[in-house]
Amino acid sequence: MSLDDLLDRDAVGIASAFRAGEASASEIAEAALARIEERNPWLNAFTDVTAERARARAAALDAARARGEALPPLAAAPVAAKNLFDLAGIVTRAGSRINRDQRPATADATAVARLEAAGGVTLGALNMGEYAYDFTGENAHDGPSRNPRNTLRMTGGSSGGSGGAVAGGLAAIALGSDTNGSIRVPSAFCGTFGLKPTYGRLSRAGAFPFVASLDHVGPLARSVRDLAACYDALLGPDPADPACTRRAAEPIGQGFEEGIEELRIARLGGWFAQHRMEESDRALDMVAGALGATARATMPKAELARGAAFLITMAEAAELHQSRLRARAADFDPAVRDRLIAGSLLPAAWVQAAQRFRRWFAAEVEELFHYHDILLAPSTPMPAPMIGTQEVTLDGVTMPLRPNIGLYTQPISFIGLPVAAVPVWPSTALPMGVQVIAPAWREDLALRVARALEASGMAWAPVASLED
Amino acid sequence: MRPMPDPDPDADALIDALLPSTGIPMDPAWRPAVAANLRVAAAIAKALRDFPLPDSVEPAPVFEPGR
Repeated sequence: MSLDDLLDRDAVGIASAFRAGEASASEIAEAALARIEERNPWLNAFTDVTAERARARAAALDAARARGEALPPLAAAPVAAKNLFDLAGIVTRAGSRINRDQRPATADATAVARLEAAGGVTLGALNMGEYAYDFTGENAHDGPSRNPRNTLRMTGGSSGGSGGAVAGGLAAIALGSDTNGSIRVPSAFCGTFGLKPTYGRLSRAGAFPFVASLDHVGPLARSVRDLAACYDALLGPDPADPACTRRAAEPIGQGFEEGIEELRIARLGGWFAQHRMEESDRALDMVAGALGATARATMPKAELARGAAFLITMAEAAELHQSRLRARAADFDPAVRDRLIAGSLLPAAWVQAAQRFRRWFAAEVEELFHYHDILLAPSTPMPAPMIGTQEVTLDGVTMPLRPNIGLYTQPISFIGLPVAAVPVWPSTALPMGVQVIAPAWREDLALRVARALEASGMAWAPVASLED
Repeated sequence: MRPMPDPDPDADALIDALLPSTGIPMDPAWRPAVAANLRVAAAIAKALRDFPLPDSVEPAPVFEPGR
């Protein structure tokens, strides 16, 4: 097998090839760096390539193997992180122009350090929408991330480079963040698997914040076992993240292979069956059909949940950026700046009402899980739009595209539920994503269902062929 | 007591009243987009107001004493 073929495997597959002596970590890292050099001009996924760091890490893994040491589960797998994660020695730009005037990070974000401890070889930092306030993957300063399935189309955002790098075969696993859908949307548009864990499950320390009460971090990958392996690597308490749970780590291991026989799976109707394009319906039909899920469920007032997430996002992000708005308003991406200024002017009672609604909605949805183990919903109402698209027509109504990409993701992250995003292919041209939604703290259930879909051939995430 | 009619928040009035207190220098060219965002927020706030919750429902931000 050539090194190029090896890079098309998933992270666990690459690690087992390394362990078996099919290739050294240094050879794999060099091949990955060469691939970035070749493909990144098309994809604009990487904003920083940490070649020396990757070479040093790979050399250390080769030395460990030569000494006969036990190798970590993802040893030699090429990985990368959205550029809001601190990588020691480079500036954490968080998609912005303003933050690149800061000093380089002095330490890795917790998630980056834990992924490397599990054997990952970090290749660099990935493009993203400014300050993560984005669903498109476009960036006013660094240019748009481009979708490997069709480079004229959006990756989705805000973890756009993460979706592009994984679907384009530039990294096997990419770390992303998800506040309103920023892992699930690029997973859908680029055709990758993604895991947004339970709110508070994985440490966000060292990741530039956006909306403290909604921010999550998690992986995008090309297989369910990679999601599980990365998730297990990232697990564990972290006093540096005030929201990170002190529950003992509950690693999934091979638990995603346990099957779905006894699981009660329902598809969400109501809000999640409105405002969509035909592809969205078809994607859900395909997944529900493959799982034999005939039951239907409704999240009450999901439209209010989406709105409340919108308000909390505006208010918390605006407060976070006050000093930058006062000093450097003209240096923001205009679309981000205008929302942040508006968010600075919200009456407090509006935001408190959204936070009180959050409590009510969480309790209502918890009730749903008495009757169902898993809920299914589309990830987005549409497949990847062309870069630069401003408007979309959903159910015959024309509306601004940007805020409406997240119609189906926002109500779920609003109450912190774990979601495995799975890629399905209603047409040969473009993938769609389906959210496999589990009760809080049950990532294992979401991954079991995702794995069943992968094993049946319904969900899959091949490396894109850029020649198409 | 009869409730007051639901106010229809005027985005421009909100900008004029509150922006000076933030110290954010706003180019007049940005105003239409800021106002449009405020109108979306106001519509959501109204929808939340129209769905009253029991007084016992507490807000759900994140805080754990002692950490």
